[in-house]
Amino acid sequence: MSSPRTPCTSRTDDTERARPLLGTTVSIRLEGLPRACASDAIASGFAAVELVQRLMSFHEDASDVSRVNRNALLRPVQVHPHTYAVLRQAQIIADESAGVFDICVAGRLVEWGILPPPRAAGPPDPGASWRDIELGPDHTLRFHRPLWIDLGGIAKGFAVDLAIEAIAPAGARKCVVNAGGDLRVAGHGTERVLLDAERGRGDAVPVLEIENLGLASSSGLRHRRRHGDRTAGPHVHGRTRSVIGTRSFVSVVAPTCVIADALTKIVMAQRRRALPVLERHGAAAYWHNPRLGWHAIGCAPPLSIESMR
Amino acid sequence: MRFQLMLIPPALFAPEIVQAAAYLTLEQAQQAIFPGETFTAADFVLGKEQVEELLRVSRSAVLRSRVRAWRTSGGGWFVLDQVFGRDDRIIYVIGIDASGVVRGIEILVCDSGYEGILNPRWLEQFRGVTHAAAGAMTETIANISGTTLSVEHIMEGVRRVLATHALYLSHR
Repeated sequence: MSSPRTPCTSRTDDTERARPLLGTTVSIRLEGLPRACASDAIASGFAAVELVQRLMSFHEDASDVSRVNRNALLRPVQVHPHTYAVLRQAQIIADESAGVFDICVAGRLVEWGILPPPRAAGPPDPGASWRDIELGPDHTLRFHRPLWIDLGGIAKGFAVDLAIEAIAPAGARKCVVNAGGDLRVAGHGTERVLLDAERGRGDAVPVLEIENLGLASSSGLRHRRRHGDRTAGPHVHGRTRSVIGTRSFVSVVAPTCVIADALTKIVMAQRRRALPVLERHGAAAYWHNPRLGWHAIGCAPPLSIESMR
Repeated sequence: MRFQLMLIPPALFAPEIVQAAAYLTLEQAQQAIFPGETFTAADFVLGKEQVEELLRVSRSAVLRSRVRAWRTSGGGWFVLDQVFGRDDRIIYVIGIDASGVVRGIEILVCDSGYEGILNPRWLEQFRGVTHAAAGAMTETIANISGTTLSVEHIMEGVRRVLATHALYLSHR
């Protein structure tokens, strides 16, 4: 893909591939590498994403997540070091946000029909939370109450980070990995990303320019649905277990994509009160609501380009 | 590490920018069309003769021989398919119930600017279409201004998937 943004780059130096993975389309773009090297590097990136999909899918019976959901109440379950790393990260952020972020909200999502019920796993205790997960030695964990974990979004963010790491040794000038809006840009040069917030005709177009950062966005509006007489959505407040942000859009930039993804949930639930957690991770957020417009949290306010000619 | 959110007037918006749209994921689409059901992957590859037969019966382009399909626990079929938009591909899914009637269709990936086809009311028009009635879709499905090619190609895709179902999946 060549574009006016990178006039010094010849066409053959940009290579982009996309594959349906992680329930979305994952694309990897490398700039400044001969095509043959780029293809090998991209293949190693996709292999990393596939590994994460195999390990952390809520849907596949053989994944670490499914095995944990079936057995961790009965005995300690050993998982892949990658799965363990994501779990540890999730527990840290759950602690920092006092449970607003919680990977145990899967029971609610199943109840609302957003996730299918896992096979051969007993029903979760509605009062169970991240505090009932104990991480043990040698990449093992166990549950102290019946619960289901779902690594969904943060696994996607982790997959993007892992792909970036797998590609790094190839030495591309710039690399962009995008998994349905969970995106990371590494190397030299900025990337412009259109944010898919609700927009009326004539409204300004939100474009985020980033360099060497992870980005994750969450849109409550696009995924909301009716559940009985109430509105349900994919974002659940970890403490109250109620739906959050069905009209909001949140983008978080952070050094890694896994952190960015986890923090979107906290911003959706807490808006400005999420600032301490954002700052701890060197992250910042943009929050949008059709009625209230754009708000920046922990970063410079949006730049309005009214006369750009 | 550097970032900046810019609010650009639509008239100045350059479409070169990467679209980071997040539509339904595959799993969300499965649950949206067949709530609460479980899915068993049942992909298969069409042989050369089957491709020709499908081409004849559906009067639609057969772009690839691999069919990505799932059997649902309720006896329905869920098919992932891809067609071309004007200058991009559109990835979408179709749910067909046990009696061969379209239960629903959801777009997973499409280029920005074609959001008209994401409109639930437009997608709703496909509900109830059958293989036998697929030929009449051009009269029953409303076109969308500026998205003609995408609309036609999705109808073609639906026709091909329904023919695939009638020929190779309904007796399984």
